[in-house]
Amino acid sequence: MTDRETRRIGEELRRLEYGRWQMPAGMTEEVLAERRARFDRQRLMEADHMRRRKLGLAAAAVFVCVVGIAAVASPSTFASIVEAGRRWFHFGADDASAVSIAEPQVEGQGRMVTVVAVRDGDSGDVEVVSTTEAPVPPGQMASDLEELEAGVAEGRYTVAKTRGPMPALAGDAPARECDIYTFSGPDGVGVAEVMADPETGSVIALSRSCQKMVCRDADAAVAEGSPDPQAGDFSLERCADGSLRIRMAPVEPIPAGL
Amino acid sequence: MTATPMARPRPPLTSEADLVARTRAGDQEAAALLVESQAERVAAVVSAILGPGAPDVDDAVQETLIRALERLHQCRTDEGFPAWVTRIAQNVCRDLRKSAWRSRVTLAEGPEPEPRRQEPAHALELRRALAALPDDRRMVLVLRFVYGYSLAEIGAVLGVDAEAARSRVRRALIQARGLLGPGWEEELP
Repeated sequence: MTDRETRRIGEELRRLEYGRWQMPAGMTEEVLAERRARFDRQRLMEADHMRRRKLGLAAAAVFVCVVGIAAVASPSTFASIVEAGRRWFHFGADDASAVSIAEPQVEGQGRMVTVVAVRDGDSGDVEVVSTTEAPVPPGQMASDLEELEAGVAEGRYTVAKTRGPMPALAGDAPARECDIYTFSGPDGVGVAEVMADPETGSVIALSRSCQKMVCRDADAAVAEGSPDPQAGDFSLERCADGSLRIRMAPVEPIPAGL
Repeated sequence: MTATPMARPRPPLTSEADLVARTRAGDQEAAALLVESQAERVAAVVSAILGPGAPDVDDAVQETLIRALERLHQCRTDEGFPAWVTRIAQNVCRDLRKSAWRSRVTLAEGPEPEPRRQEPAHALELRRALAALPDDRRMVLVLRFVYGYSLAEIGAVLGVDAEAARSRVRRALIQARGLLGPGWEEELP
């Protein structure tokens, strides 16, 4: 390859600004706050672990196994899953009209969060159509699972099983593996993901696509560039390249044992 | 190699050891400076792996920086901070790719997507070629030509010396050129 060719490729890469990135406003504060929150959460988990350990030691040997299984599905674990939720939603200048997200749901714990943002093709404004933040109601997971199983039986969904780490627990250290069942519609778009303990088969968490939760009667709507603190824990900002970002507020740590 | 990347202002690498030491000692101001000094480099790595403009780039950058602060005590000084952070970024991207559930959907009743801006054919071809490169090769090209990193700085990110970094950039360029059509240069303005 000639030096001229090398130079032209380099020049074009620079001109395209391929992969150029702009740090969102507030990210530094977000990183520091999240680090503190995780530190606090870790301390709570350790305290919870010690409490369970004492409880386990005091129990008969047969119950130690039961306590071990309960610890696997403890609220502390679930808090870590919820904490892994996405904070930044980024619309590129030429991006699609909608982005949706739903947090993993764990019955009676954590929170369900749904954000659907629609970008107006003419004005470029972004409207946050729906947000929901609430504990997962009793029976929600069971009914969702029933619906998913029925969907597979009726041919409306396909399901694929993979093995992978729990999202928030994955990292440099060996992560706890779980079975992940991904349910997809006929168009191939994922509709749900179920994470289950590979040994016991019990469901640890369930994530639904928020399509079924989309609500046009928005409980929150934000005009571009004017975040409304009453509307929920998010704000909008316009980037220099014309793209838009929606920023979620940090998730508060969920005390262990609740 | 004669290509000379355009110099871009960014925090110097020499201050990192000091910032790391102060952050380890609990200095919050140093922690903030460390985050800001690393963000762009982390974004370069993440963008190269996930693809430029990918919706998860900001999340991956944030998660990388949080993990780096959480595990700062694990960073060995002989290894080099940039290489260590780069490895965390690669792990974060790997985790993101594994999670298949987060998907992008378009509402049936929503507005039509905006038409994509037209790009010249040679630019599209270059994007396609870059997308086809292995992650590590795409990364060195982005660091070198988009972010203007010196070979020594790329070496620090990769944990190799400048001469090895030069070889990697050259190999990446050769592979990229091979993926471009024979008449690619003739399409250039």
